[in-house]
Amino acid sequence: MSKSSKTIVLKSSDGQSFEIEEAVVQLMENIKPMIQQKVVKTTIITIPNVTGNILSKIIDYCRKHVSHKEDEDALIEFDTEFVNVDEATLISLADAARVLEIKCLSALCTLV
Amino acid sequence: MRTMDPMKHREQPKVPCQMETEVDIISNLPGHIIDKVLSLLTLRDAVRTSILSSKWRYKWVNLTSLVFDNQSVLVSSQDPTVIKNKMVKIVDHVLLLHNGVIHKFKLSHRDLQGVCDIDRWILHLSRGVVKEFILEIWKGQRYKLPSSLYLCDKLSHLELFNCLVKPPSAFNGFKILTSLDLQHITMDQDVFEDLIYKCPLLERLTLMNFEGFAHLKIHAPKLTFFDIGGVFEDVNFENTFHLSTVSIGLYVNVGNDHELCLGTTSKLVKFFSSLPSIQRLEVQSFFLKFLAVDMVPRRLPIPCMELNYLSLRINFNDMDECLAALCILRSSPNLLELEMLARPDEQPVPRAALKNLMEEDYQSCFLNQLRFIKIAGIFGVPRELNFINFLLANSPILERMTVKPASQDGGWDMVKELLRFRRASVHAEIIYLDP
Repeated sequence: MSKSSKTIVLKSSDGQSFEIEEAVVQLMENIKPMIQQKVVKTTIITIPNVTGNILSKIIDYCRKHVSHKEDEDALIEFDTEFVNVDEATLISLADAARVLEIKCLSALCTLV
Repeated sequence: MRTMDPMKHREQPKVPCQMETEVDIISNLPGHIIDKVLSLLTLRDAVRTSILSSKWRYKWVNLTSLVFDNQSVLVSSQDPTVIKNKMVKIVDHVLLLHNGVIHKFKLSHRDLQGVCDIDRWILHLSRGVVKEFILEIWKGQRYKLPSSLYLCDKLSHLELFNCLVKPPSAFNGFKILTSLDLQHITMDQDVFEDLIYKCPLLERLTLMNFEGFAHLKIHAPKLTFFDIGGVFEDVNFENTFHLSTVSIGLYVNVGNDHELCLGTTSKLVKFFSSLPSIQRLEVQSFFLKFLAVDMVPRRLPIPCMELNYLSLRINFNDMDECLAALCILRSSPNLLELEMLARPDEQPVPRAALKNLMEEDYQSCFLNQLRFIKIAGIFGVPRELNFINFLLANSPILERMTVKPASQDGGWDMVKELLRFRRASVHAEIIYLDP
């Protein structure tokens, strides 16, 4: 499966689209099999019940965790900052993490 | 009066005697027998019996079944207008002379286009108790059915070809309709849904080449037979728990770029879960591709226990379709007969999409009841042969597999490959058919 030719787009419940890389998808256990099965050039996946605002934060989280995989300190710093939000946002983030099945983020949200 | 003198009796020639008795026998048959005999003739011949004798003048008028078709009109002219006019005269004539109930009325003649005379005849029928109505308009525009048709509440079979269906708003359905056959018809989306919903006893539904609606919402609790071929966007079976024979053909390619939605039930799962009694299924044209558009699960959550015949039109180069086929096979433990008809690619498939099925995709699929397999239209490419290999290896009681290629090319190579494949069944015959 060639990595460069595939385009993956996540669409939030309010219609915002975010193009993401395959490496990012690897963290989303629910999305991963969809990408693996569908061999088309562009895969657009709508995530119901997750707004663009939250989805954007989730994608940032995943990107950070992919790019700084080895750097534990940087990740801890990022995570602490990440959950430093109001309760409503935190709940939305936890829900989104559950829907997309991002294990590390789900764990992080429950710890708080 | 003949004398009882045996000598005189013997002198009479035998032959005229016999003929006279024969005619009497037929004419004096009980009325219902004569009716039955007349009903087996074409309408033209039945009506012609009126010239046999005065006794026979009005025997045909009790016919309960009136069929006006290409055999009804025999005219020397080739001019369609002349033929049409003759036809109209014949139908008017017959209806006027007819006496008694009409249970079946069929009108199907190649030169009878949407004439308003048909409106008049339908009005006449609506005043009676017609049970079967068949109307086929061979040429020309869609014929708009008159509102009087919708008053025929005793209809149990309705068959229309090339008509426009637009019932009045007060239409309450055909309460005892059991069989509906609509081909080349136009109707609105809400009219379609309403019609199906308001015919609660519907058992057989045929829909071919329809226009005006694209969402098939089938709410028919008594439905057992469903045959559809056309262009539509989705199909939803509601409360069709007795549907046992289904044939679906989607005549338009669904394309390759689709939006998926996380968390929704896949089309494949939804389709089968709404058909728990399915016994015979034919998936034609692009319908398998349509079903495979979302995420295809490995197996269905609820297996199809009743499915014993499956026919799939499949593009072996399309991985989604192959996975969908495997999902269905994995979930049909009682499948007896399988037919796979190859559909060639419409456009050359991009390299990125030429992904092969993995060994794990073929696993855990046991075709323990499968006896007959038919494969047709293949070219002998690895994807096709791998699938055949898989079928042979997993069908322990297979009796016969027939393979018919699309063309003569590569036939010998294909046979060589087929010869190599291991067979799970010692009794399996593989028959190669010439294209």
